Amino acid sequence: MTLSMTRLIPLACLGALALFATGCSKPEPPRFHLNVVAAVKARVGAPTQQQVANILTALYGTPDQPRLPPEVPFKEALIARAAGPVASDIHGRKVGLYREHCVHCHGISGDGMGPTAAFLNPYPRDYRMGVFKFKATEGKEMPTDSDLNKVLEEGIPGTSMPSFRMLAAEDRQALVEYVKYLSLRGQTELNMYDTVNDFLTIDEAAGTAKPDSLDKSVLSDMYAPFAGKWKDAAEKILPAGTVPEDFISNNQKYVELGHKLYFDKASANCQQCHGTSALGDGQLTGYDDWTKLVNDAITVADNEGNKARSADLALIKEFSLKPRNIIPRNLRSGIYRGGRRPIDLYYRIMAGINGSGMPAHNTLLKTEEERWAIVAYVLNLPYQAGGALAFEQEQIAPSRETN
Amino acid sequence: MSKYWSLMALTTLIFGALCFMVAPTTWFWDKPMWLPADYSEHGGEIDKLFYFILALTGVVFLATEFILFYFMWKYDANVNKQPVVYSHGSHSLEIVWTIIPAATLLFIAIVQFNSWAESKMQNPMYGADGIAGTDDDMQPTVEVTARQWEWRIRYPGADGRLGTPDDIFDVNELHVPANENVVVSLKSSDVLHSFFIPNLRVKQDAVPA
Amino acid sequence: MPAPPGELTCNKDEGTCCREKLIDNSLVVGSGNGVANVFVFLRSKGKTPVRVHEDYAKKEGTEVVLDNVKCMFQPHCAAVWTKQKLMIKNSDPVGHNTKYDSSIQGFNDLLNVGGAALEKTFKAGENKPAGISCSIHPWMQGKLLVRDNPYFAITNDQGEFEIPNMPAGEELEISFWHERNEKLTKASGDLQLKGGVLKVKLAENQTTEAAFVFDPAEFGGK
Repeated sequence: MTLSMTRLIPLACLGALALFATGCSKPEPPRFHLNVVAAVKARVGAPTQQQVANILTALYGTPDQPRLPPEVPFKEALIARAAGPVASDIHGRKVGLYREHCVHCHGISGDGMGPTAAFLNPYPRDYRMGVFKFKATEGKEMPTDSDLNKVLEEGIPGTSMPSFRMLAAEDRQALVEYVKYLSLRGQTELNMYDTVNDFLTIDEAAGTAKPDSLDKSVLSDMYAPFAGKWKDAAEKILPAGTVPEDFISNNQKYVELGHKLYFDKASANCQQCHGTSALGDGQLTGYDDWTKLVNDAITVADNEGNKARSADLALIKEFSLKPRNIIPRNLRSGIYRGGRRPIDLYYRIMAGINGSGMPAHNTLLKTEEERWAIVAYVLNLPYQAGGALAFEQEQIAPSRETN
Repeated sequence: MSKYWSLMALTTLIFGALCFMVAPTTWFWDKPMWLPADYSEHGGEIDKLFYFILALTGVVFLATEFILFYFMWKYDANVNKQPVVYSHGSHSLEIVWTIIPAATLLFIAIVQFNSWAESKMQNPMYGADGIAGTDDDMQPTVEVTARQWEWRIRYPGADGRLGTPDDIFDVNELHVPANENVVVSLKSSDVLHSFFIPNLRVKQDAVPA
Repeated sequence: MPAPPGELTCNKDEGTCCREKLIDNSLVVGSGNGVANVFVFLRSKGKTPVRVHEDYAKKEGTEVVLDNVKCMFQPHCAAVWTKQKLMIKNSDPVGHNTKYDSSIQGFNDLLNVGGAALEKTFKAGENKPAGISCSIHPWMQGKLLVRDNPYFAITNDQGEFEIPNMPAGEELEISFWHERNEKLTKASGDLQLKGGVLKVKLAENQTTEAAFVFDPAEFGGK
């Protein structure tokens, strides 16, 4: 056959497509970012930051090749499965789970500042402070594996965190281990900023920072307290009494007692923050822990004695999301972020919600009856008049004729 | 090689037919790329419609492509040296090939009336009188609220009524009784979502507000 | 001389909290330019435990009180030894909560009205003071330092402090910390700071008095 232009063009197009299908050169592998806001707050200069970054890489590896410091009780095999680029093996078993499911909101370093984060309310969690809200452990302890798994399985209603129940349980466990890994890395970094003089010799005039002898015990001090806290989490579960037997049958009694305690200044006094109508309008000017870090960094950077003032402020702006106030929960909405079982509410109220302003009530409410009364009252609020869960409208399409 | 373009046209015919022949098999993939298993009562109606249209359009497709190939082969410029003939068209041919497709489409439209009515309108949900909004309507078995990016599910609980403190909440896992009519009250809390259960041949948009 | 302190925004429980103007007490300067609320503490070097003078034995088990008075922390800055107890009280007719932002032993507990004091003991010393705050009244801020040795002090209104009975004959590293800019690094006067710490060796029975003059920039001024 003759090869004219009209025959050549479609063949050439097919050929070009085939070439592009094989892909371009490999992109650069992603890298962890430093917690720049915390570095500015701790007034840690660039040479010191570089040393910190080197040590973190030595201890924790990179997003594609993670590793664990010695004697950290996390499961390396699962972390390896969750890390790295998205791929699947010959049997269809997925790897790179974190990058597939989480990174677009939670960021490659677990900083809660992925590409979609700025559009979300509330912002995704920044794991790097080791502060988690929805857990069964006391006060400011770490969450257990089961707490983190529950978040993945149930999602967090009222936020953009969806449920990952459609993933296999082993995939979820791999993601839990990876989140713990990112969190421990972040906690180590924050600790290092507080203790730079313990392991670096810093010459501010020359602008250099050199590591002193970084033997095992010095390195271990950087992460061991936090690894220990993660390890102990399972033992720090708040001792919760069991739900009283008459909780459902005699629910009204508990609701009435809870109502009384809600407004009682000598007791739980919930109305101070959650408002007299329980709409969460009692205190609207607070900040959560993550935003406080940003605000504190701004305070440190923003004083006239700081020679790098505008540079520091620009850095903070680049590496943080716009600060927002934290609002106490609207208890009439019927949306319970940490779970809606009575025991979930018990944990939220008695242990407090770490990272937020919600304090622990277990030192104050001493009897089980009082504690479950508050839980019963909170669970009942959305079904009272005007509450969001009362089923008021006719759900089936209305007929055109009405009687 | 002469008749290059006619052979290109033949590939469409062969490739198209091969796709449909290979799709339901597992020769190249783990699961057959065909209709999912049907566990519903009314799903058969919809499947029948699909097969009917597939057969009809398949036959027409094969015929049309073959005719295209045949004429390209027969009248290829390298082989056929007869001069071009300009015809004034054929009035009767035009009528025939307008009326037959129109009739076919009308036929398809009428045939599917029943399927549509059965699955969307003559609904056990409306009770014995078949009128929506009257007292004998079925109460929702479950309320499904779509939100980005999950399904929030609420069951009426022991008292059988939604909106009472004994409601049961779940996410992403819908449990319904087998062999019973089920009414799903479908809502969305943010944008349009499509509530699609392939194995029950159910698809309905969840509309916000 | 730094600018006069600003006023805090008082927007909750006005009847109790906002009767008097609430002054920002993050920088308190006495007459004679003495800076109050500076934490002075001995840095523990490595793992060797610090030799504690036997005089401090009577300090063991004593209480350090942190009170909520008129919706401000009283005192604004507190320091406690791991062998002491922190007692948190609420002397106001409104509820408060006390949140301590330590990364290893933080807490956030509710204080009701007219209730007993909350007792807190700490298991480990910390590297630097951490924040104390109230979520119900967000302007309430303070600092708490927890140390595993008793060699610490907080400067008073005139900027004076005293740490008795420090270990003699060895090189001590002393840190200065103020909430405005955290670690104080630039000082002139009697003794020099190097790398943010004061290195000093005290002989037996020597009492060293020194005046530390800090650059006002350390406190956020010009």
